[in-house]
Amino acid sequence: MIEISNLHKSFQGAPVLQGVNLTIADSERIVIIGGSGCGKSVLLRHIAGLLKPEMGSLKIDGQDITPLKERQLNPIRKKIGVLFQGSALFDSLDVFHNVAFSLLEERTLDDTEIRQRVSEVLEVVGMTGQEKKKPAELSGGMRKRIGLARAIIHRPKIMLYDEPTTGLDPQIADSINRLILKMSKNFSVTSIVVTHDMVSAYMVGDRIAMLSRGKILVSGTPDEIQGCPNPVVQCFIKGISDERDLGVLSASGLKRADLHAISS
Amino acid sequence: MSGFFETIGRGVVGLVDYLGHVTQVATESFQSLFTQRWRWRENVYQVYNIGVTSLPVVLLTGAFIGMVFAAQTYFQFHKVQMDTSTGPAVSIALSRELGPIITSLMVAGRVGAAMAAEIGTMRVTEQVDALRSLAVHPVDYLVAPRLIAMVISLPLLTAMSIATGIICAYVVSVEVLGIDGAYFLYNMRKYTEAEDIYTGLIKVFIFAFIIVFISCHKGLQCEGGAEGVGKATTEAVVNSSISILITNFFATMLLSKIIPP
Repeated sequence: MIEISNLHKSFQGAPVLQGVNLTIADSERIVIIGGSGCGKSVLLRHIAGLLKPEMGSLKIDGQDITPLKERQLNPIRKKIGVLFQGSALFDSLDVFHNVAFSLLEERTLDDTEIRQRVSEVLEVVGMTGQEKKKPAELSGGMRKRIGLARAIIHRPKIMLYDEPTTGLDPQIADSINRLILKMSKNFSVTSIVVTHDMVSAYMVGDRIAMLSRGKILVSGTPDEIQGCPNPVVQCFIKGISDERDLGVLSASGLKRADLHAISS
Repeated sequence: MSGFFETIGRGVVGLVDYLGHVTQVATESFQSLFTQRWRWRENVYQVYNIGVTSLPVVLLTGAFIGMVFAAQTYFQFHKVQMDTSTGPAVSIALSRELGPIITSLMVAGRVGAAMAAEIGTMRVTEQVDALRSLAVHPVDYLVAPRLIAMVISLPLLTAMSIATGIICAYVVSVEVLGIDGAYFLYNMRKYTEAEDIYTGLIKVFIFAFIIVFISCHKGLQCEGGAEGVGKATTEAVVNSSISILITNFFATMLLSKIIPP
């Protein structure tokens, strides 16, 4: 279980997180949505132990990770897998060494077992036979898959996905969403997905939480979020920049595309 | 007037903050060297990267510094009929000062820049965070192997640079300037002592730490995309070079007390 309470973080005096409270149950799939720059990725980095908050606590399986030093965080990090927005594959290493990285560093398995584990995870992400390629030879979608393979090879209990579908075409984005679901169902991992892609949010989330002005504004099932009367939530999920348009849509029963057609 | 003091104050605070961060990288590096396992494969690769690939430029620099220093020394000594003193003058200067300083500056420019750029790029593309998320301390993986490689490579590069400089100085002195080769070698051996070599190599050992800590720190602190990487690279070279020159003076003064010239 992950328990976040009263988490605060600012950068150069500008507050980003202003008292985030959120509890995530084991095996839950939660999607955190919110506008660009609202602090979604910052929150995710706190959960991964990559950033330290100025105030508040963040407990993973009952242990507060906020006072821990860099090396003390390593046992916690072994429970967590992170898929970075840009995949963050190591440029100098080929796919095999990228995926096997944590196992090669741990040195608890022999070469044969490591090769077997790499083959297994590459099969899970649909990238069998790509071991010798360098990251520069891969497309965006392939890089995401390899990033995912690297994150899951040490069998984490918690998976963090930072904008997993950003910059991908709809079909590839769908395949990544399906992989997130597959990971969750097959390995019972707790999944935390940060995104502003609502198609992805509805598809992968058991629960959706919206971050706004440094706090969790609302949290609920995809249906509850869609029916939420809060105009900020409705504007975001419907992709409307002007709140006045929301009233027009509600009164007329039109869709957003109709509104654009009328205004043009 | 208050603005002047404010500027000075900010500069001092900035310098202390910077030195604190570099010291932190240094402390973590030593902690890594003595408490974490050594990555032998990475160490060997870095020795190749830092040492072997720097060899041509370091030898070329050593050769031309030796030749030009021999020529200039001869031009002055010839006026007072001391032509054969060119040999010891060149060998002592190369061993104590020119060899260590020129080699270290060349390596700071070539390798220090590459370290800052490589680590800086990894930082801005989240690869450093990826390392941390995989429970690997960036200092263990990125700094410690470079430190080991630099401490091995730089003294060897310096020794080779000095040797090349002396050989080239001999060729120029004997073949071009007409100094008697036997006297050149005799005087060089007579006046050049082992202490001259130690002094240079001890200083180079210190410079190796300076280059790695400053360059890796710049890379690890890099922010702001391609522009940030460029800035980190430039600052790594400038700061390393200045630190080498300043440290060289104090190290020379200190070593002159311990090992009198």
